[in-house]
Amino acid sequence: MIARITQGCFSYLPDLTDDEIIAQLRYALDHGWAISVEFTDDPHPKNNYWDMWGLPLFDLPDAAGALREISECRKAYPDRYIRVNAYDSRHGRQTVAMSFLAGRPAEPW
Amino acid sequence: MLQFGGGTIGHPLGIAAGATANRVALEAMIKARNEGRSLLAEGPDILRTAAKRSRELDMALSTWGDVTFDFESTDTPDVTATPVAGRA
Repeated sequence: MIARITQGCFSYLPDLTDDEIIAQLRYALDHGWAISVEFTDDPHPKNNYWDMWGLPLFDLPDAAGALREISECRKAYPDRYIRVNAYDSRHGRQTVAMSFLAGRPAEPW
Repeated sequence: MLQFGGGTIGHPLGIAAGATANRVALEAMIKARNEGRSLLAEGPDILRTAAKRSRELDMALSTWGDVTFDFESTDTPDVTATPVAGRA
């Protein structure tokens, strides 16, 4: 059995439910961070560049909308790892402020 | 600032388990904070709930769960009066 992938925040906890993901998205949006969704078939830590699921949702203030993007991504790539990034664009920070896994392959490989 | 020392190294299941327990505890607290819960009021409860899904954290809590850090500052000059001839 392959060890459970632990990356970003919350990966040592049980997988977040959609309600829990919404709560985290809301926290990010309340801070003015932009949500983006990414997926990969290579979750090794050396691979920092995951494939983008569309463009980052810079102008989307709605957590439910962001969750919809995550669900779409899960549907399209049920066999990939999916992560959510929250990007803080404020001057002086300009970095990912929060990043967590929002989807794992249905059958781990 | 997070200080992880003896609680990691001294974990009954070993250092790796201690590190895992730290990580589970930290993530559970961050998650709860982001959800708007009060860490001050609910902190111990949040950890105990997280420990139900993590053997490492559960063992750490049963070892050190009742330790408190409620002591006076030790960062004070230890002034002891040196006896000097001619003074009371």
